[in-house]
Amino acid sequence: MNEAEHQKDNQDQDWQRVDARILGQLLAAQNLLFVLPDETRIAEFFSEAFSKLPGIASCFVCLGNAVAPIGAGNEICSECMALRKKEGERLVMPTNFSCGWVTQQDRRVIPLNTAEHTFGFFIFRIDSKDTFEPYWPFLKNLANYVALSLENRMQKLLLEKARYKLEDRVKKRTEELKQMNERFSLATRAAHLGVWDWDLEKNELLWDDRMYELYGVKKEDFAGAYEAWLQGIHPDDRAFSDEISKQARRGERPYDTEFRVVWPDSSIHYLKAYGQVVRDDNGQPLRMTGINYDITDLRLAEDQLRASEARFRTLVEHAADAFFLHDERGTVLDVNRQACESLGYSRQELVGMTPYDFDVGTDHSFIDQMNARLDTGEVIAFDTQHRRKDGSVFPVEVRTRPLRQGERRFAVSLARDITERKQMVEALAAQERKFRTLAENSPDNIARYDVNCQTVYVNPSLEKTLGHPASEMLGPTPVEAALINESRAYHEKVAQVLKTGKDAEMDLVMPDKGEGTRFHNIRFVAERGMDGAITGVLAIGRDVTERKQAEEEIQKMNQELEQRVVERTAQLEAANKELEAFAYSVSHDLRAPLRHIDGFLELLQKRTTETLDERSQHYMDIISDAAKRMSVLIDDLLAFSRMGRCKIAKKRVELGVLVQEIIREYEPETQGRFVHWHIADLPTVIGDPAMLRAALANLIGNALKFTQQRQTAEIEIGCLPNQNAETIVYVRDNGAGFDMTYADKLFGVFQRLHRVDEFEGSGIGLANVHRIINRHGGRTWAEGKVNRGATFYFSLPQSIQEVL
Amino acid sequence: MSGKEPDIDMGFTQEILPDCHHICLIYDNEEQRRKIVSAYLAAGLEQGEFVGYFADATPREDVLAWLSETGEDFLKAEEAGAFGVIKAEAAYCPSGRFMPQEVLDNVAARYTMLRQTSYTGSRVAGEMTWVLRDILDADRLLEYEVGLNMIKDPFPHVGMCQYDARLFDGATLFKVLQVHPYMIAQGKIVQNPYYIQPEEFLKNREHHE
Repeated sequence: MNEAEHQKDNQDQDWQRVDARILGQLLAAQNLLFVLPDETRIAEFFSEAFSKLPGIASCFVCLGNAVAPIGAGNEICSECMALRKKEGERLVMPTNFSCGWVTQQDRRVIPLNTAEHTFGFFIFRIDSKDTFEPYWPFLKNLANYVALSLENRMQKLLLEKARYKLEDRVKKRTEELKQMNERFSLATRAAHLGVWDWDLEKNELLWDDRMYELYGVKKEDFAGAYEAWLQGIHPDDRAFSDEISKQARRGERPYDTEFRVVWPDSSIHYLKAYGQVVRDDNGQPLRMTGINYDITDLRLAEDQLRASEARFRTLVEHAADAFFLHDERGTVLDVNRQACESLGYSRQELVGMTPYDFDVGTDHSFIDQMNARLDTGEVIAFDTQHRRKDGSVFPVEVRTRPLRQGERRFAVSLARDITERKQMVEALAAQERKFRTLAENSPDNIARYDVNCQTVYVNPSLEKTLGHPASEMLGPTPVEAALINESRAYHEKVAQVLKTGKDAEMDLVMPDKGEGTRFHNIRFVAERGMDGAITGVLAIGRDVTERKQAEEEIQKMNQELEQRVVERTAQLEAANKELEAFAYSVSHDLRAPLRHIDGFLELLQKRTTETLDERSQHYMDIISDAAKRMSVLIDDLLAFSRMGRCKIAKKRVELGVLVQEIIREYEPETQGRFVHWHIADLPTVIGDPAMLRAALANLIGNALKFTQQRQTAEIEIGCLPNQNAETIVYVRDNGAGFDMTYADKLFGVFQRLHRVDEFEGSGIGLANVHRIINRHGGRTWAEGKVNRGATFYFSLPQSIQEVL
Repeated sequence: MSGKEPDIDMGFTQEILPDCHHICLIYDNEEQRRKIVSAYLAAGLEQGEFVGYFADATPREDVLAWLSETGEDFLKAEEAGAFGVIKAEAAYCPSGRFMPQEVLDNVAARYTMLRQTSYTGSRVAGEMTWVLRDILDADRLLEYEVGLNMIKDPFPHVGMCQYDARLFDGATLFKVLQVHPYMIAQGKIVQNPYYIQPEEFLKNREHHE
């Protein structure tokens, strides 16, 4: 029998010695494993069960952490004891841990291990090796089974532990999320945030209650889709809002935007929107969630701020003063246009400079002092000089104040060019010096009052006049206190000039130092500052006693003269009247004898026609002509004298109409003559129609008469334009004219410049014209040259016309 | 054990079992116990047996709630006297101490009574945790369990002793197995290889003592 056959034979013998019931128990033990809840019970159960196995004195199941079975304490090996020393701690056997009983002859040990762990050992104390041996393979199988079961339990425990841990974490996380959600919900409510969620696949847009408020729509009116949201956006913002949403979905940019929405009531609201895109594993967008909140107030405030800043910028930019913004070290950060213009640098050149670069009077210690003072919040004003880019220097007045923004302290400087002011101050000082010089040396009395009527200056002349030194007169006591009787009127004049700014004047009667009184004329002149405002009053007094006396003398003489004129006029008027009465009576009385002469001469001519010779007849004709001419003369003289007496009846007279009537009346006389009439537009005047007719008829008649020898008479009647105070009418002809040497005689009674045989006439006509116009308050005159025609003018005062 | 072995439905297994037997249920979770016990009792009620439950740790309401899920009307059966839930201590220790023979006598008397009625058999399930309490002579448990195996009454009767492996130690559980001819392993009722015939068990016991 070879070895293999021997072994098989032994096995067969072993099988024959195996008790089936014991095998059944070993198999059943596997099932019982499932209901034994822990290692201790497993150890207890199997120790008990295996001790009944044939050939076994005792059995001990060592499961690392399990409490040693009752009565089996001595079964624990020394190695295991060493492991168990750490009381209270779970015993973990190393994977390669070996039981101490392995080497003992009477012991058989089966390890309970898997590839991962060693859980313990089945330790058998052998009583009868032969009896026991057949069960060995079954026990090894069972040991494997128990080890796997323990491994499973361990894994299950670990898994459960992990699961509990996970569940605990999930629970904690859920609680945290719940709290976060509550906090978020609280926060969104508190911050008035609207929350939205958009399912991209279904195009379902979910809003919380706040969103409806933000868009001013009712829940039932909102379609819950992307397009419905887009529809609520302001038309101008719709396209870019859509584009930003698309870009966010494409992953090109985060969804962070703002837009305006238009509510159903047409009001416009600004909204801020944030969102996140949720994507699947392939990066495809699934949904978008986010928030909206109202920023209308913010935007409106920003608009106002922008407008305010723009206004401020404009103000600064157009300020007359140069503006500099400095940092803490004085470096220029910004300037305005005036700064560039005054210094001759561009803005780019100035930014980055320090005051050393353009301020003549600045050094490091000054800047340090300035900064120290600015740090305390002080506003610093000082005069200095700035240097232009071209090197020229000009004086400036600078005001620098600190400007705090957050942690930083800036400084703002406003520099004003005071060149002109300095010049003006100097000019004023010069003017003042000049004034002083003049005033001090003036013979006039000069006093100066300020706006409160207080005397601020008196000159030596006034001191002398009033007999008081200046020191007594300056201050609140006005000079007028020293005056007698009229101090109140004087004070009122000063106050009046201060109030109205108009110069005033008054005369004062002042006592003379010796006896009597002296007259003073005081002129009050307003003094003005650079801005035109009244700064005081200058009173300049002059002794006018002599002038006053002279004036009084002249006035007295004038009064006497006037009286004499009145008396003389009365005498002349009486004489005139007498003369007129005389002329009237003469002419009236002369008419009767003349009519007799003429009448009887006519009878004589009829009776002597046959008897008298031709020469006698001619003499009688001459007598008759003379008588006739005398009759005309007497008629004109009578009319002339009547003209002086009759009353003027003034009416509106249309001169144009009057002239046409007169021309028509002269038509019989102009038969067979060539007369060119040039009649201009003539005005309507106020006057006596009959008298004005007589005057014009006379002038027109003269023109016709003195143009008899002209082949064509050119007669022009017109009115001189734009005569301010009077209306001037003229009649011009191209007739015989006259020598201007005798022009002053033209309008006298019986004055003739031509012989009667040349031009017939009484010599009364122009005197009559003169008298008529004179009675209307006007004037008459004439211009002419011999054989070159003449022009006769008369004027009528417009003031009279208006008054009438 | 009786000689004739008609088919008997245990409710949770297809095993063919003798009409008189004694089962041990060692369990470590309530769900499994509930399923086995309620099916076991419901099958008894269905077959016209007298059904009893000795409850120790489980409240009566819970027991009724389990049973109501089986579809059998236990409340009606209780009213009819065919079903009852009583306290385990009252059943096992009616005089306040555990006297195995007293309980075995009661069991025998019950079979005699039931035989005179129309019940087709007797079926009882008992929770054994009362043993773990400080009850006088509770350590005579195995004596009682062995005694049950020795009842020769032919009236069909089955009993199920429930041992909670979480409360009993491993050695006790092994001994319990030695006195139950049938055991339930992984939901299945199987012949128990650890079972020792009563006479042998008693002889070994005497030998050890």
